[in-house]
Amino acid sequence: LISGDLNLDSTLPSKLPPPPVFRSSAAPPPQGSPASRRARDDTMVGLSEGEKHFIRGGIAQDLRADGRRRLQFRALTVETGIIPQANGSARVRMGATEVIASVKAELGKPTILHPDKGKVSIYVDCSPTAAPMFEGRGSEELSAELSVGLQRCLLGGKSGAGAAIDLSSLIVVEGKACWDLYIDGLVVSSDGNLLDALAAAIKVALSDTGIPKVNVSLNNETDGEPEVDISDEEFLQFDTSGVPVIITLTKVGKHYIVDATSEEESQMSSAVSVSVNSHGQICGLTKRGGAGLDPSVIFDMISVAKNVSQRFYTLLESAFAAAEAVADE
Amino acid sequence: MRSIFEENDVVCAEVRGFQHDGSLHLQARSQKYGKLQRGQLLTVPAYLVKRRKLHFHHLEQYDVDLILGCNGFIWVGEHVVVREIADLKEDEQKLSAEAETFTPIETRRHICRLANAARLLSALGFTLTVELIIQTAEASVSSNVEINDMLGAEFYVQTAEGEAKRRGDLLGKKR
Repeated sequence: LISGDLNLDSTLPSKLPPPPVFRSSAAPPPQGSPASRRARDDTMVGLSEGEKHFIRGGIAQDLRADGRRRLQFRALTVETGIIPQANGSARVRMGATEVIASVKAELGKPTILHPDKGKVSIYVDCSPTAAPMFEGRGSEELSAELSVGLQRCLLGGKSGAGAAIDLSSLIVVEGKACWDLYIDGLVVSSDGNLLDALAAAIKVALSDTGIPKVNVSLNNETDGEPEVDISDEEFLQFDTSGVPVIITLTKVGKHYIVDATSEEESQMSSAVSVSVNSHGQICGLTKRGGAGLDPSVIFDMISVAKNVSQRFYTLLESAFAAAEAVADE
Repeated sequence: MRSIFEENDVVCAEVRGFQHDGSLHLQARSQKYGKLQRGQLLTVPAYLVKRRKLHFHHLEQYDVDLILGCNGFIWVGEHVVVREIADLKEDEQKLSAEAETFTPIETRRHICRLANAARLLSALGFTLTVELIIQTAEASVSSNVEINDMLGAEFYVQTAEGEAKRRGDLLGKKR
């Protein structure tokens, strides 16, 4: 990297890659079942009792291994439009965790039950390059859990009520044609806090999404198939102000931390993921981990997550603005 | 052996030689058979650690042990006092009575600063030496950089520029 004749440009790029965190091969246990906890023994590097003690001590003393306080996030970087073929895409990095989200829109038919609504599906995949345990079918359980967690937060109820994305805005011809949104998440590098990173990536990808304008000609009504002409030039942007973010609070000992690395996650007793929208309303809730929690603790975690979400919104917005500034250059 | 070591334990040992069948003859540094406990282990690309005379450094000003392994394993932890083997069992009981024995906060700050300095230097691709790590940690203190901000873009640039200047000066002196 550095040769003998060093000539560093005085203006280094402002968006430097964050220093990679190592030992991330202690991959996050797919939270929940004991069977999946056994699978963690296949990871390359484990943690000794002394190191675990050190991590727990750091969390108790409000000084984590990388110097963060309990409720501090790692450096967040965002890039948009990374997949040109998709309607919208984004990459989010939080420390060594890196995820990609893409949004593809295709014309489809609305369901009979909800003829006035479009459809959205969310699916997450964990790349085998992210962690050795993701090879083959190793990531199935974790991918399913992440997908369901995101669906709960973003898609609302079965009727589409309470969904973060207004499904009625996706309709083209009532009962006949609608937009189907396929949101795909990919975990590229795994160092903890996957759910929060994926939710942030989806929110940014949706902000980056342009749905083509369609011109519908209704001459062939008798056929039942209206002619739809997809415009190449005009695009409709989504209003993503209603899309929530997810804040996961990991409980280690008596304290909660935000944005846990996979080493810290290995020490968790339980974790609560709260999805909060910009108005401070709770849109979804997931509790993981075997330890039981007193209801007062859950309420406390929810209120902490609500406060933390304000800061996370600010962080995400400034990272997104920086990404857009770079894209405009 | 299991009463002393378990799987995933971190051990500091020197390679004293090779046996004729290919196995290694290791010598631990007399404290507790070389077991390392109170600190954190980082891994960096192995080529960033060059062979030197000393790899085990006791930083007195911080009361911290810094071990630079040629395999890329870097240990930053509390200083371990050389003890008799008889004291081993007593220490193990201490570790299980947890909360009272957490690392003191000042030492922990030094450990985190040095560890972040090592992470930063390895991300920049600089060869890791104990002098450079201490220098980077001290630069972060004098620039009033918070420990976790050491991994942010500003200190990253500052460290790279500092090193560039240092190497430029070195070249200037040679000429």
